[in-house]
Amino acid sequence: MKCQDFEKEYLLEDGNLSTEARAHAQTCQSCRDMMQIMNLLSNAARVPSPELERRTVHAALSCMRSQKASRWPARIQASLYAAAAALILLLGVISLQMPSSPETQAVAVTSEPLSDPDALWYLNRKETSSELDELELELALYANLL
Amino acid sequence: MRHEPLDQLSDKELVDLCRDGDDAAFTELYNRYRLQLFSYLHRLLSNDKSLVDDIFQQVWIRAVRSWQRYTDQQLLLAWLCRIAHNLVMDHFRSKDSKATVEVDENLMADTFSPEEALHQLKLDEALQNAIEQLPPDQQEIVRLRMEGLAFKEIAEQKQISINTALGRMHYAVQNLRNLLSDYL
Repeated sequence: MKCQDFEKEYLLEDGNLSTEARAHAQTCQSCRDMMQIMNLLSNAARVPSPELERRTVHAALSCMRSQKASRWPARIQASLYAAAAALILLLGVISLQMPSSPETQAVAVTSEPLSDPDALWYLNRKETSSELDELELELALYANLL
Repeated sequence: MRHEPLDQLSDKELVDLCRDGDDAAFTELYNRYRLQLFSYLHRLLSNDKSLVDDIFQQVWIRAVRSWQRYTDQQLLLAWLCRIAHNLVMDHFRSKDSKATVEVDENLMADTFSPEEALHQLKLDEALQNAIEQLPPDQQEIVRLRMEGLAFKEIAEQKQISINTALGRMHYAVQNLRNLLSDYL
């Protein structure tokens, strides 16, 4: 079989080759190259139908929109969480800056170290051991009363 | 707010816009890769046109649902082909037929690597450029043939003999072979 005959058969029969033509293709590089080009053309020619294109784009865009819409509640929820966290933080800062209650002040005074000179007034007044003993007794009684 | 035309944006930039629900960005990506993806599906499922159509549609829907999984290290066409491949595999696995194993093996062998996808993309572009460089009478025959017309129909439509139509195709193929020598 000649290349010219092979090509004619291949083009007219849409690639449905006779046994003789197949045998020729196996031995002829030039005809195989021709078949490769024709395959490239037929592959490139495959295009989705307008109806398929319309359906595909419509379905994909609908899906994209529904995904975008479903993300909104999550975004709102996240914003609410963020707002709540900020509010809690703000309340914490405000409570720290507010003046302390009397109970807190009492605890604060008693727990202060004796570095304040006013807190040592009694030591300045009571200098003898008997006076200190009396003071100790008074403090003990006072403590019992409490 | 974007300022650049969509056709100048990279795939990654378009995917980012798609994640924000930009319809125009999706349409641009769709137009970039629809033909390659369709051609790829025909390679996988050459005998089942309705399945090709069905999976083609599913690939784009799956892509839209999975934008978060796309990374810019991946070639988008290869990513789309991977989705297509997986959907085809799922389709045949869901069928209880003896042919399934054979088809699966073919599909496994036909995995489309990113390099192959890139080569295919370049080849498609080169082919379109090469066709445009053909003399008008050859170009006409090639385009009619690509539309699926038989040579008899082409001859009737152009009012030439079948031999003339075949002759023009012969020279067109020779020219295309020379123009595409770097890719073949």
